[in-house]
Amino acid sequence: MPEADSTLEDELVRLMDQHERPIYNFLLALLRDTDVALDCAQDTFLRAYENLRKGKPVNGQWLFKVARNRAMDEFRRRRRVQPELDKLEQIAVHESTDRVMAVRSVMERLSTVDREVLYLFDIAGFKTDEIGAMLGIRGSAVRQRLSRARERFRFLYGTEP
Amino acid sequence: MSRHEHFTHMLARRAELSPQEELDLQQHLRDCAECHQTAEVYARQAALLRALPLAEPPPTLRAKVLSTIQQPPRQVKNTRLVTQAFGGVSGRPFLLLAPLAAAVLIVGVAFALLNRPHHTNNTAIAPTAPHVRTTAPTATPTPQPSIAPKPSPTPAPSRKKRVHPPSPASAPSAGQGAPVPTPWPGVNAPILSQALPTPTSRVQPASPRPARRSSARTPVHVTAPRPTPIPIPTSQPTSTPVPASLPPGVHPIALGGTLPPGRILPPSPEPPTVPAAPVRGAPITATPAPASPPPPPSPVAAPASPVTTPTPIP
Repeated sequence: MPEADSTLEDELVRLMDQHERPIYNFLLALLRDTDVALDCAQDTFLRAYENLRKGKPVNGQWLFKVARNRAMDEFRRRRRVQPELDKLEQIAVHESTDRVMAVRSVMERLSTVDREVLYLFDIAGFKTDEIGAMLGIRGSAVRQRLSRARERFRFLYGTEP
Repeated sequence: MSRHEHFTHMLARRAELSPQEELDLQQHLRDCAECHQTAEVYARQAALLRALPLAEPPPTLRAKVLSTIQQPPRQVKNTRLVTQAFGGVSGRPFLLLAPLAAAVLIVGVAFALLNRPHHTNNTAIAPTAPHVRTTAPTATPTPQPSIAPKPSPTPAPSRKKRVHPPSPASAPSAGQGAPVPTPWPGVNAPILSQALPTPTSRVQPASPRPARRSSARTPVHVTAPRPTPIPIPTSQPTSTPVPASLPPGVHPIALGGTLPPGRILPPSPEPPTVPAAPVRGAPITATPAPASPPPPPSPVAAPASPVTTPTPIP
């Protein structure tokens, strides 16, 4: 293998060490399908390698953006219907002994828009302006979405978790 | 956005607030109990989400990615295979087929236009079919100035035009033994019809056309009876007496008449009165044919007709 390709592979391995787990979980949170999430994560890192070969920089924000776009492609392909808030029911969180299960259940009941903005802000740790750059919208729109997502999470989870 | 909503939005993104924004928020939380409760809920939400254990990605993910990038790049893509099959032109191979497809399309359209189905039931109509594909419901043989055909300098009918020059050599007289007058002196209509090729594809069939799908909206297409052909004098126009009273605006010469000697021709202020076109949807009533033979086409209606000679105006 040429030395240049070896350097690129090392760079890709470094990216995967740092972002493989968050990217996979982000895709899993959006798609809720392990196989599809695996395929999308694989495509994301292969595209990252192509970008590295072209001499373009790749960072975590770029990886999340590509992963998110790939997930949206899957959504369009499967035409999955997004759940609506009025059709959702509150979860009996107080009777659940496992809060993690309850939080996962709430996240699954949220819409994809709410889910991705909550994941990117609270779990991935991006700022709202960075999320706006990923999603192709303004930071103020992200802040609006984040506020709505918090209220929906609050409604579904209950006011006294 | 009210001040309360402003602080609610700030609470939703509290992790990225600047120090100054955090100070303002804390000052508001001391005064607003509702925002204070919301702050507690949102903080608990964020803690719960951050505490979610992340799933471990399967080891096949890294293995697949690394094995894929270690494969040698594909030499030829599928599109290039197709390109090489078409002569090795780089780019889009199907662009080569575009001119060929366009040529086939043009030839096909031209062939279809030149070989349209012929109507054979109009053999009695002379090649210079007198009628227009008219929409007028009247059965009167009087010429209608509104749809008066444009006289053509050449008597041969045009294949492209729907409106043909008027000719008296039409069906009823074609089968008779008497010579039929034609626009050309000394030429008989049956002989002419045999001599000239009949553009049957453009000639209106003698029988009424079958009702179209839109006949309910435009019934005039199917209900108009065929007007009786008007024999046109071959050499000299016959002068009909001008009626005593003419409708206003109608010039006496327009009716084919002649002026009495010594009478000054008044200036014609406007062209002859055009009969009103039938209103769409109105009941169609055939205008009764006049008892007297109709006057020949006036020179006003067809001023450049090679047949009729304009009446000399004193």
